[in-house]
Amino acid sequence: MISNTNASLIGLFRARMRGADPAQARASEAEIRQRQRDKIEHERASWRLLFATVVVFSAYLLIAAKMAILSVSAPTENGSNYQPRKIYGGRAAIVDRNGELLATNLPGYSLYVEPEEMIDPTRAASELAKIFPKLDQEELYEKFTREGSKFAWVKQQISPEQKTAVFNLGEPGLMFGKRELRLYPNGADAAHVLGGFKFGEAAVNAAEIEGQAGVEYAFNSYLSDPKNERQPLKLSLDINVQDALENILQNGVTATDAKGAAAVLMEADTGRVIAMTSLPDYDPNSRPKALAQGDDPSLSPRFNRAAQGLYELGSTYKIFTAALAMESGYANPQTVIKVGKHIASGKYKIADFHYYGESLTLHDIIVKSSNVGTARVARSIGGPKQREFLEKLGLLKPTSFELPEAGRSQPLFPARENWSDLSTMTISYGHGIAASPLHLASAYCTMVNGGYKVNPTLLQDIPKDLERPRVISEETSRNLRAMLRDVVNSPIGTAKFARTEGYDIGGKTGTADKLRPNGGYYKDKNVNTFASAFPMSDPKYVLVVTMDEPHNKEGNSEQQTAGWTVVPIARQIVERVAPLLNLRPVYTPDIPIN
Amino acid sequence: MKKVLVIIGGLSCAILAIWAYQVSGKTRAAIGQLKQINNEISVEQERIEMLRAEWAILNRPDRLRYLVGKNAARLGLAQISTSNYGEATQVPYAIGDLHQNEDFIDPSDIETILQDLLNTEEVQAH
Repeated sequence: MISNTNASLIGLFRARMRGADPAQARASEAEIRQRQRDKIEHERASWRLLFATVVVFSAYLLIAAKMAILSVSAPTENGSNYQPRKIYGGRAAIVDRNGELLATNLPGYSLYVEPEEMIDPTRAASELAKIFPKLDQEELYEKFTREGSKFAWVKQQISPEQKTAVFNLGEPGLMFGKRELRLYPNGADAAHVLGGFKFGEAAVNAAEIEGQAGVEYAFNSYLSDPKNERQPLKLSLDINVQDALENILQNGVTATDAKGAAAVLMEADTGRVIAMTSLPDYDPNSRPKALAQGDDPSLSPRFNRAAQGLYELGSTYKIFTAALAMESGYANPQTVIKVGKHIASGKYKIADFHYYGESLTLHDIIVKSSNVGTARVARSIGGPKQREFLEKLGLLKPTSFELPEAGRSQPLFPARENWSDLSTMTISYGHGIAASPLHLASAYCTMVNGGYKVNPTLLQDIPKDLERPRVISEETSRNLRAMLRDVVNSPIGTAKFARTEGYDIGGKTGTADKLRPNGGYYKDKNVNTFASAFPMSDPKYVLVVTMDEPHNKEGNSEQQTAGWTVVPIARQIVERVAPLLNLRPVYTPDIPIN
Repeated sequence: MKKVLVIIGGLSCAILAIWAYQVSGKTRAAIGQLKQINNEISVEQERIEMLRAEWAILNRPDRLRYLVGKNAARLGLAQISTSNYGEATQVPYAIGDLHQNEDFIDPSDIETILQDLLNTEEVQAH
């Protein structure tokens, strides 16, 4: 390769050899080179132009194509840059199985103060104390005049009337913030299921509503999730049934002067709870405060007797002993069992309310409710089998019911090593073992629904392919139904007052002495229970009613047994509730149990 | 040739630009309208929630029970009981020719009757 300088030198020499003017030759050579460069530049420039044209043109083409597509396609809503306005309906509503509102949100107001803006703190404090009798005038004044204070809450939640009254004071330092309120339109109905709310994080214009108990607490994450705002939580309750149940039970409590009562109504096949009540109750719109420490929490109206309360449920447990006897092949309903006056274990003697004769069939032991007979059956079968059976029925651990209160309800029973012969005998008729009415209702579902285990639930939508383990056989369930029906229908039965035209009720009574807080039993205080199902020919519903210390004062002598107290109330409940559940009365006597 | 192409290109570009400008304007207007409508929807939803709550309060079972009790003399309502149910066999057979009975409604006429009823109600409303 010859360098540029050398090339021009070579040109120079050549021109000299030819005798030409070397300067001219250099110029012409330079011109040729310039032309070559220009040509290359030109070519490059046209390529660039072409490229730019193609790019710009295709860009336009793209836009044009997009516009053409837009102009022929159907218009759609532009969702990405639209955010729905945040309204107060942040927390999802709760509805019953028919879509009736159980809890919803309403706009409300809070009241706060900016002391720096205040004109007349003395007057404001005295006037506010008049509007809100619970507020203390001196405390308010102190709040309004505190040195350097820029903000203070007066009241987290005020009604529209109170807002108007405060507004009319004309005090510029009193300000209103927006608040969502949780409203329970049905008042005390289903209070224990719904629970209640409290305000969580509070800013001036919003406060988070948090569930405090019941469904509001159990489903707090679902209810507070903004994506469920328009998807109410559907419970299996039926508010009309719930109200009827509560009404009748409340009348019953008043009439029998009981300390409290609980009732559970559930579907026998699915375990869906249709109504659940605990008395005394409260209005979830203003949930009462917890009792002071040291007081018995079960006396608080907040206490859910149905799901949380543990009671010795008495003779209602005899049906489990009968079921176990039939399942283990020990007896059938017609097997004659020795009864006698009493049965002894060590120094303890178990006797019956009356003397029922030397022997009874298993069927009659249940119908007449013989402690001695049941205890004999249980002792023959043995404690371990009894324990295993109760465990299978779910009577030895908390239910899987959704309420947080139910999870804390651990049944009480003797430890395995203390499960003596005596325990076996008393447990066979429901003493020395305590569970909640909800436990009992679930176990009765298994007794009458053909033998399937049922888990109580509050949700209307349950999985269709729910696994239902079998606990007892179809035949045992059928025999038990015949026994339960005769407890009501037979002239010797203990629940004669449950007889009603049209609805084929069957059930078992239980009268248990109340436990003293420091051991032993009260002689004259009972917890009475009636566990029932209807219609007995093909049970759809299970109803458990429990009353704490009821007395029947009708007639000459005071009656305290379940047959005289809870049974008539349970009958009233069935008569009132069955039409609400679209259950037709059937007058054909003694439809065979299927 | 080249000039013609340039003119055509320029013109079409200008037309497209004007069109695009118009579409953009319309879109903006539509988005504004959409926001307004959505606002209106949420205001309406708020009102519906409010009305639903009011409905629930007014129709809560214990209030209805109280009102029925209070107005028992006028309403004469009793609680449903087993005696309110009847058997299908208890319904008597119709006597005579159904079609000659003036109370008889032919099921196939129900559509027209309902329509007539609606029309008269509308007229009354006006």
